Amino acid sequence: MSQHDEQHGAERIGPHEETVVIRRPELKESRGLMTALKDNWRSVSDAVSQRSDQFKSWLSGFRRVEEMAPNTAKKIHDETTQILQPTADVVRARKEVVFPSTEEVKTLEETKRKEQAMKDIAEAAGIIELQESDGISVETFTDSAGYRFKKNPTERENQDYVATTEHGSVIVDGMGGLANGREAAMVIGEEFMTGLKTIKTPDEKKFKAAMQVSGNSAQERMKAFAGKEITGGAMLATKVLETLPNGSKKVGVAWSGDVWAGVITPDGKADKKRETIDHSALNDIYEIRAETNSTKREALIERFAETIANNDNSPNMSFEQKKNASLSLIKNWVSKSEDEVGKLAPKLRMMMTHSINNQEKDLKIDTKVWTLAPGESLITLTDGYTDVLKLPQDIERAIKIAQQNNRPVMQVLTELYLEALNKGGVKEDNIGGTFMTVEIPELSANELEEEQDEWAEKTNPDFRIPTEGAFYDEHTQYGIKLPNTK
Amino acid sequence: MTDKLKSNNLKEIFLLFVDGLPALDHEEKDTWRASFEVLTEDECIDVMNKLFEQSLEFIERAKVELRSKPEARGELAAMERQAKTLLAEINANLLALHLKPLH
Repeated sequence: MSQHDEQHGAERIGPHEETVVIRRPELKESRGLMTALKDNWRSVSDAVSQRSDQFKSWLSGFRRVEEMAPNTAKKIHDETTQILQPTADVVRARKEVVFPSTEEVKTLEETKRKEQAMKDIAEAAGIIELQESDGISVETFTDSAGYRFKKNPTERENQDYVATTEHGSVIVDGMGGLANGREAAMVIGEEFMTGLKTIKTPDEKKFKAAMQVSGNSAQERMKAFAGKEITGGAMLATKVLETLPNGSKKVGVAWSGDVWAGVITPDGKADKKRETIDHSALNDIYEIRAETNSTKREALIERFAETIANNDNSPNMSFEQKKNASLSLIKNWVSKSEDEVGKLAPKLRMMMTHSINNQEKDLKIDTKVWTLAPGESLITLTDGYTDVLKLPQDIERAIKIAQQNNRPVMQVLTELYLEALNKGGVKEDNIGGTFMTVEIPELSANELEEEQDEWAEKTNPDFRIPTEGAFYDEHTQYGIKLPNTK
Repeated sequence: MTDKLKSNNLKEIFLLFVDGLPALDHEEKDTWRASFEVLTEDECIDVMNKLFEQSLEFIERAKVELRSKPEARGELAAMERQAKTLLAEINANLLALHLKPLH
């Protein structure tokens, strides 16, 4: 502080047009402060807080000058980054050891992971690709089992996918959000209607009410199962399986979203696993990044890719193919900034089953990684939590079919579930994926209507029950045609 | 003063520098905020010194770029005065923590 400054108790700071007067502490005040600091650390905080205002004022001045002198600002910024680079490298190397011990790092990266997790996992599963194309380019298709699917061209939110088979079963893609979930509920209800064919005098009103109840029930069951609303990328297959002696219907529901449900749910148990997996994966990447010797670094990358290849269960791929599928990705990841690597954590997780299996045996997760395409992997976590039966075999089969037909794996997987539903009905040992039954209560028409109204009021008063044939287009003959109940 | 309290205070000053100095962009600030825990005291001071120097350097070079804009002179002069004030205050706090002052 200059002698001149010391002689003034106050000073004008900031631009002339927006004069900000900040009282500048006298030197003696600072000295007094220094003494007080030795016994009272909070005084330091207070002093720093006061300075915070000055910093903000200073910063706003800087921002104005930056706008006036952008060339200088850019050069200074680039230089600063370079100047701080050695320290930044030190930080990264040390974080390999301490990560994620600081709450701050955890919070930042966890937020980013949560934001990115669903997108990345769905993308790896082929769902994004499906959503971009469904309803637009692929309108009909026949799957390997010979089922013919029709797509409903009706515009729906996110162009969700509703298909029905010749056997009267239904596949739905797009369970995200309430609106989409409602669509799925409708389809469940419609499937329920198919079952009602056996009833001689179906009551349309009763059917519509039952449809909502069944849909509501299914949503709740799925929510209870996954710990949250099922959003995004879930595919659903339904089939009426059984009419119970009391008149209730059991509708089988299989959805392939369960493959990653265990990864993304906010449930503490699932989160713990996910976090553990992320950290293991990131630590491996940090180990490579911290290696400054290029030869050793290359060796680490090679070893990393080989480890992944050894743990890759994908069929029809040689070891070298699996290894090469990972090599370029790893090289890309290790060259990213720390921030970007954090964003890539979900993808890393998919590749890193060896770490999980080796280090986290106590979690008892049966994890497998599948290479869907070069650079595109899917991880499956299976344990009691997800209640998955025969999942690996199903995925292996789905991958083969998808590769042969150039189709998204998850889509094929759902069809396989449906196939199992159609062939085996309620027997659990011939179906993969999550399986549940939704029991449709045998209530009176009035009771059903009351329940429907109550539910609609709770969720969305504007909810409209689709009229007969709402999903069906006479001209194109796409969609689901409800049985004639009149 | 315990090491923990000392560290808390240094952290506050460090975060002020990271947040308050303009030579970093938003994402870099996130990174540097999170880096405090793994840096030694001396390294923190070093980072602050570098950031402060770069900020002063920015003012000096901006003067050249803006020499044809007299309306910017007042702004730049005010920033220089503020820089000196802030430096003095921060150094007082660092000394109180028995840490090296910025130069």
